[in-house]
Order: sequence, then structure tokens, then C-alpha cells
Amino acid sequence: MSQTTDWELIRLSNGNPKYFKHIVERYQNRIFHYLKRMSYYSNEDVEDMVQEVFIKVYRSMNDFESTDKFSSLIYRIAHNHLVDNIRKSNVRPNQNYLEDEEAVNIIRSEINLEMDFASSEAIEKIKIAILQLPENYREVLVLKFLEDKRIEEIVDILRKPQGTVATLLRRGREMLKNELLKAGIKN
Amino acid sequence: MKDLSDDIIKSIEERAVKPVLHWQYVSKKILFWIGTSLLVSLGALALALAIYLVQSIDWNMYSFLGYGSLYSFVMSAFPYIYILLLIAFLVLAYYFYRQTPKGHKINISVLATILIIFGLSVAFLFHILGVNREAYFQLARMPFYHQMMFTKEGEWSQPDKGLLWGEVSNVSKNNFSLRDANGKDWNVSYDNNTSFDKNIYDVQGQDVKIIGQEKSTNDFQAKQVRQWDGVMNCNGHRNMMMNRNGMMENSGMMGGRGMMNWR
Repeated sequence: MSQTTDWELIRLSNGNPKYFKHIVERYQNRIFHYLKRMSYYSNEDVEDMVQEVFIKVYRSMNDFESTDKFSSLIYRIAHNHLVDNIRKSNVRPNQNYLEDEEAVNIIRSEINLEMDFASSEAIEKIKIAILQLPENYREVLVLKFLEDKRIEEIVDILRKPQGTVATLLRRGREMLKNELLKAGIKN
Repeated sequence: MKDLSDDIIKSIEERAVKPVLHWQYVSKKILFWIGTSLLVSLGALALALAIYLVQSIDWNMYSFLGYGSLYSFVMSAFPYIYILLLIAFLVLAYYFYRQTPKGHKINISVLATILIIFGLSVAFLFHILGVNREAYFQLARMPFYHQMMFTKEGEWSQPDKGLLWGEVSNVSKNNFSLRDANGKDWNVSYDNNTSFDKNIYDVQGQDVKIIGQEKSTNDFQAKQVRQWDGVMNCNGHRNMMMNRNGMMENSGMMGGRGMMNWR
């Protein structure tokens, strides 16, 4: 099954959930980390969310068009599920689940900071600066620099026009850079 | 994280989750497309109606209606409601289009421009085809419409300001009878100074518009009498003197510009 494409698996899964297992195996880690990076939930809660996301993916499989990138469709469902969850709980993230290296990866394009030379205090400041960004800016940065998504994919995941995504990305980076400069982290 | 694949498949089977049928998604997409088209068409119709209203009103009557200038009359009689409806329908069309499968890909300004250009084109088409005139005819038969909007019919139903519209009957040498849109009968007098665009004996049974002076409750002195160039007669029927293009039959007058030479 490792050679079978996502679309073939989706076609086989339609009516036989057993094949869907392979889709889950391919994407569960990526979706888990994406949700974890974007939320304040515990591992157990995020695992529950991952389950719900894949059940939604299974339910929506007839809505997918083979011209779309399959991973973008899963991310889109995960994004919508996360937005619904945050809206329902009405609680904003107050903790940061970014790994040290992930935090540095996000700011690397703005500030020339090598992981090896970054002090734990600096990394903590970076994490706080990232956390303080408005959610829509933070999400675009996470998708771009941690999930390695191209702009076109982010457009499909967030269902926002390309210009809007590019603006969010540019402004998010600027805001982050300003926050870091204020915190005394300079390139 | 732990491997969730078995749990997810188990959950799908236990909860008997089924994929939503393909035709349901197709129907939803079609509905959004129909919705977008319908909303753009409604917006275009609103604009076409505004064009018709602007074209049909006799703008040079402002002094009779107590307006100090043409500008203040235009500001007061302009069909703002239709322009607001146009904007509202286009905004709704924008949100409907955004729900279509590729609707998120187009930039906001590009999509807004496309919708505006498309709406204007359809409005122009409605105007050329006379769809706005027909829609106006249907709306104008509703009595409250003339209270909500400034219309040609409303404009000429103000005998206290010297503007009267109605159907001519019983023409004699110095006067004729006229029944207005409210069913009120008038005795209209005329003399050698009264100007006519057609022989008054030829317009018996037809609608005319009159500039003059209200003498008493039922008496009106005519100064100028012109053939009615509205889409609707005062009895609520279609004005058969207007052809499909909004032109007056047997006269050179434009439907909405018949009073251009009036002073």
C-alpha cells in the first residue's frame, strides 16, 4: 500500500474504511503536530482532535477533487476543526508548545540567529513573541516555516486569496521582528 | 504520539460513519453558483430600475415641486434605495461566490471588480431588453411604491403644485373631463393660451399630463397638455402608446424625455 497514491486510497476507502487506515497512518503525525503547534491543548486532547479530524475527512471524501492537493484538504479540515474548537471553548492559547528549534525556524528568515548560539532566555523570548502574534498571522507562519507549505497550499488550507496570505505572512514577519527587537534580540 | 489509525477506523465503524454522497456536494456547489448568479441579477435589476426611474422622471419640473434648483431636486429624487439594493446584492453575491470550490482563490479587489463589471453589464442588458421597464410596470401598480420612491406617476399626481395626470374624456370647446390615478374626476379648462402637443380631440380615452393650476377641489386650469409618456396608465394598465423601446407611438417623444421642451 505504500506505493498507492492518496487518491487511489480515497477511492478504495469509499465503502471500505479499512483502506482509510493507510491515509491515517500517512498523515496523523503531521496533523498532530500542526494542531499541537496551533493550540494550547494537552497531547490527549490533541489526539482526540486528530481522531475527529480524520472522521471528518472520511465523511467528506466525496467532496474532494483530484485536482486539489490531498494534504491541503486534510489540513483545511484540521484548520476548520481547530477554529471551531477554539471558538467553542472561547479560550486563547496561554502556553507555548513550540519546540526550541521550531521557534528559531520561524524567525530565521527575519533574524540571523543560529540555534546553537541562541540562549535559552532568547528562545523563551522568541516563543513569547510568536505566541503574542494574532492567531491568523501565527497560523500562516507555522504553515509556511514549520509545515513547509507553499503559498498556494496555504491559500487552499485557509481558503484565503493569495494576496491576503502573502500580506499576512509579510506583516506577521514584520510584527515578529519588531517584537524581537523590543525584546532585545537583534540580528 | 501514539498510533491512532486503529482507534479511528474502529470509531468510524462503531459510529457507522458514512461518506456524504457525492450528489449532495454537487448540489451544494450548484446552489452556490445559482445563488451568486441570482444575486448579481437582482443587483443588476435594481440598477436597471434606478436607470429607468432616473430616465422617466421629468427633471425640469423641479420648480413646480418647490425645489430651488435642479441639483436639490436630483439629490432628493435620486433612487438611493436601488443603489443600496445593488450594493447589498453584490456584497451577498461576493460571499456566495466565496463558498464555491475555487471562490477563495481570487483576490478581494479582483472579485469585487469582476462582480461590479458583470452587474453593470447585466443591468445594461436589462435596460436594452426593457426588463427594467416591465419590472417597473409591475412595481408601479403597487400603491405604496409611489410613497416609497419618487416616481414619474407620483410626480404628476400633485394637482396642488400644478401637475396633473389622468385619462381624458368628454372633450368640448373649452374643457374636458379627466380621471386621475386615484379615480378622482376633474373638470379641466383650457383656452387659447393653452399649448397641446396633439389635438385634444385625438387623445380622448388616452392619458395626458398637464401643467396648470388647481382652481378648486375638482377644477383645474390647463396651461400645457402633453401626451402621457409613462409605462403605466392611470387605470393601472399598460400604456399602449409606448412601444417596446419606451418610445411614444406616433410622436417623436422619448418615453422619459417627453417634457424636455417644457418651460
